[in-house]
Amino acid sequence: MDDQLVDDQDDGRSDPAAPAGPPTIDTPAVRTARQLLDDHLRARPVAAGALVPGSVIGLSGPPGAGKTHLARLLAAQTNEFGPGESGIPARAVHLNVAGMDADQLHAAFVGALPRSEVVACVRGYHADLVSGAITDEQVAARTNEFLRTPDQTATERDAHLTELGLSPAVLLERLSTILVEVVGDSDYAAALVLLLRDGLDTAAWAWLRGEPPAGVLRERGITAPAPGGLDALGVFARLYGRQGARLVLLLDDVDQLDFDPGHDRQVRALRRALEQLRVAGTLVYLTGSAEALDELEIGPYRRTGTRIELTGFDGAAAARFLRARSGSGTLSPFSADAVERIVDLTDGNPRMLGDFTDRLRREAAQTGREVTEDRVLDDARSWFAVADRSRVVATIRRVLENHLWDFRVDHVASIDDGGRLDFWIPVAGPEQAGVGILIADAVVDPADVQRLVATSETLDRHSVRAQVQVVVTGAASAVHAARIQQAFGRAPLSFASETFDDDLAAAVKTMLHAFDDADDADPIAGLRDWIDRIDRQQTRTLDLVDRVAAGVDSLRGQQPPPGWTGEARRPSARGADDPLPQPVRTVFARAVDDIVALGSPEGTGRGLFLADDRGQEVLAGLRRIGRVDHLAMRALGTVSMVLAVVQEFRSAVREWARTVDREWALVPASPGRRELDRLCARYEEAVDVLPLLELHNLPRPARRGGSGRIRPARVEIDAANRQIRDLGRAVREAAERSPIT
Amino acid sequence: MAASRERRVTVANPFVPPGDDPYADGPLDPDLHAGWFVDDVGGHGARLADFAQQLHVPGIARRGRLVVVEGPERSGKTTLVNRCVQLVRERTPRGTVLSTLDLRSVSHTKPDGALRSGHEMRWTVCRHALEEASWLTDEQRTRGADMLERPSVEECDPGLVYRFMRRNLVEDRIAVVLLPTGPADIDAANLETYDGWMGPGMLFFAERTTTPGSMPLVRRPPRPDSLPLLSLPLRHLEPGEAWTVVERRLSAIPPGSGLPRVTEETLRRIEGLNRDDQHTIGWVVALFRRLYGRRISGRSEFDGLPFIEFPEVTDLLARREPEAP
Repeated sequence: MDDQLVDDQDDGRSDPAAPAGPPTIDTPAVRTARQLLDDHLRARPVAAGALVPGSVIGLSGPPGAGKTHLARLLAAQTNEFGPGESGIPARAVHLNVAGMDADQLHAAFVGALPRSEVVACVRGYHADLVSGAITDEQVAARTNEFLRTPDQTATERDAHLTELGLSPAVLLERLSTILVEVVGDSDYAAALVLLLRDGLDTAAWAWLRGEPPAGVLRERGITAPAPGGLDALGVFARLYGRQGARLVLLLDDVDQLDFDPGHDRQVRALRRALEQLRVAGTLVYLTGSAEALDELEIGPYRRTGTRIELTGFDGAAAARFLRARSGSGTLSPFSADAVERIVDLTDGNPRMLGDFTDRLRREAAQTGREVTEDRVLDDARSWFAVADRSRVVATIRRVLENHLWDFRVDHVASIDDGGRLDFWIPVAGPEQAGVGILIADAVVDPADVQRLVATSETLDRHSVRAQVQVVVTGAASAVHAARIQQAFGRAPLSFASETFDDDLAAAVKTMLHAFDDADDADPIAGLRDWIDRIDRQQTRTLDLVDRVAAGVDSLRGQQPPPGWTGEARRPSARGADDPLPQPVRTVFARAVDDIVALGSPEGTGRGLFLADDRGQEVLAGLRRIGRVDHLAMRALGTVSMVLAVVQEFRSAVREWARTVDREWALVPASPGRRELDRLCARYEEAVDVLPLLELHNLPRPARRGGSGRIRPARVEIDAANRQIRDLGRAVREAAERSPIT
Repeated sequence: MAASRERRVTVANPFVPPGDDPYADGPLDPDLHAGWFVDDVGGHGARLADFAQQLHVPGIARRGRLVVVEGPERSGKTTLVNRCVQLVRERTPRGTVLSTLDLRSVSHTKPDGALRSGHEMRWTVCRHALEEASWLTDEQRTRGADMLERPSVEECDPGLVYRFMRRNLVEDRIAVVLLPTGPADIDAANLETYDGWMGPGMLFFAERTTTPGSMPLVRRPPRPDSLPLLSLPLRHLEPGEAWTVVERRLSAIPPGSGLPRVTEETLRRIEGLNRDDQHTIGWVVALFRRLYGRRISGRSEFDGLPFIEFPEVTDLLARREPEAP
């Protein structure tokens, strides 16, 4: 057997220095998946007319484990198998179902089926029907063979049937009856039969693919569009299966199907569809998280199917991977120690390993030096860093605030070395008890571990009853992570994880529960804690009411906002033809400049094509944002929305200034004033619905020489936030101060 | 091959009418095939008699009629229509002008190969009628063409053309209109429309291929200007009828021609070739035309044998060689 493809990256991230196409490594998971497929393709029915049993196989593993690529490999293996005894080629349908709903999944599935093969299946049923009607074996066999001929036209077929004394029309009617029994739906059966009729085949195929019925189909009783949905997958599965044709369905990312929240009904429908496919003899591979496959009840101890877990490479597999990727068949430029360390840092994850080693290989090509373990460790700090410390702190703060946990920042549990914790949630009861969170940039060498373990030892030494969660923002070596787990009693959390927020909240809850479960826990403490949390919630609500009331008062009194200077940062580029008075122009220009200064999508790729390291830095920043930093993506989207609203507001005010009566400011209830009030109020309504809190997650482009991104300081964000919210009032006041002349 | 050429027989194929293409397989036309065998099998004789009994040509001028010949594929529907039309011609009184509009060549498919919908088919029938009905005036042709150009199905009334045709058919003028055969599965709807277009002075003939699942024809309530729809159903051959057809033709072979004979036993086995046990006259004649064609041209491996036996038949059917020499 050939080596197996294990890398699932094909999105243009491949190393130009490395050979084209991902290398292939044979792992137990890959062997198992391929063997199951081979067994299925070669299986024979236990009796004539019986179905070859199908199966549902789950392929699970972390992102980058190679699930998609294995699915692609299985699809290729199926399509290369060729025709079996049915004479119809084995067909694989490989779909990435992320974001699809049931109807889209059906449409994609049908769209991937070649028309010629569906027709071949229907011809198979027709041929069996006709040959069964002929008493002479020789004539029956030759007729069956003829009717399965791919290029045969309906005219040729009907002429032959007529020569045999058979009625083509009667046979098609009987075929329709047979297909109703096979596929279980009379409309589908009718449309499939029409595939064999000249002049109607195109309309029938369009209907099967989800288009509304054409006139010629409506005249024949097919008046509604094809039902579609998940159940309809079984129609084609049964069509193939009962004809002995092999159909293999591979669905990628089933955990990202677009199901409604609380989607029990849809999950049940998917489970039912999978069961229908299995019963119809289809081999189904599903890739997704273990949780998604659990939900679908796929696995050895579940209702159905088999589960194959894709794990990372071990050292030997990684070495084979690197040899294959090198093009020269050697490990060069990696030393053996470096390979072990890379596996340790990446947990053997093929995608991470491939990306990281590509970078190391590029650097080695430039410097001409071997990639050693030290070099790996050095690079890992910058390569795996997904966020700077301030962003991590902001995220943890948000998670704790959202759960209304009372926490302290930068808590000093002891003045000894290692006595500081980044976050501390005190627990009611004995003094010096609580939940701590410790942030580490990277854990790649013993010194990193030692610094963290020192905290654990210091807390123990000072009898601090603490449950501590370590959060790692960069690279984490599996070996050292195990040492941390030993010291703190729980594995470090990776900030890069897409589920970091949920994981952190779960960890904190678990740690808090550990205090509840302690024998000496104060029975009243829990109640006290609840009362405190309710109190805090009320305080926040009152605070919000106060701020809103102050804002309303301020609007009524038309007081200038605090900190408002009215000075322009940059003169307007629009010049004299802009009807806006200079102060108003300044307000808008400053708002736009300050928002853009925070960070914007347009600025994200700035410097990308520079030839020196700066371009690489920008690329690295983009990779981090695109791959793991979904919060930053949302924040950038928010900036775009805010800018669009502000610019629209400016246009509206500009139009107002062009047409307003010059005396508008002198009359308290003039139409011009009312219109300006309306525009400002509308802007404020719009700003209220924008998720300005997202701005806290804004990234900044990587700086030259820096190892990570610097986020705007919280104070900057808060100021910008206020400025955006107050822009309506600022515009109104600036307009008051400088009547149009 | 040389040996088989030596065995070539020069006598005419007893299953091909004189002058016909021996490889074609068309219906019989009494005008073209006068004197050829008139087979009273599959209900032909009875249906022709039914029609003859109800045919009163002078009455057509007052009350038109739609005649539908129904039956399985190759049961002789077109042949029966041809014979009915010949009968109309024979019975048309002197002084009455009989016009024939043959629309049977109108195709069911569009130039791109797609099947015409019912409306498209009826539209095309009217377009052809507009061009070929000799008794329409130029002004009627123009108005009819305008109507057919209307893009909306609701506004387009192809039947206008037939109302013009009816209007011009006065006492001394009648017309026979031979309608095209539609797809078997929607013919009932087409025929209903044609029945609505028919009126005084017009005798419509339509063919309809039936299967066990065919929709029955809708019989409209009687109208004062037309007679009720007349259905002439044909059927499959009954046991023994195939032998009647074959035996009549074989008996006409002159002695010493060298052509093989067929036994009644072989015919019975042929009739049992398919489990439906349903055959039509068209199939029987076509099968024997091919068998004798091969013997006459010297292309058969069974040349020289005095009888056509069942293996020769299955060999031919399994071989699927082209008809043409």
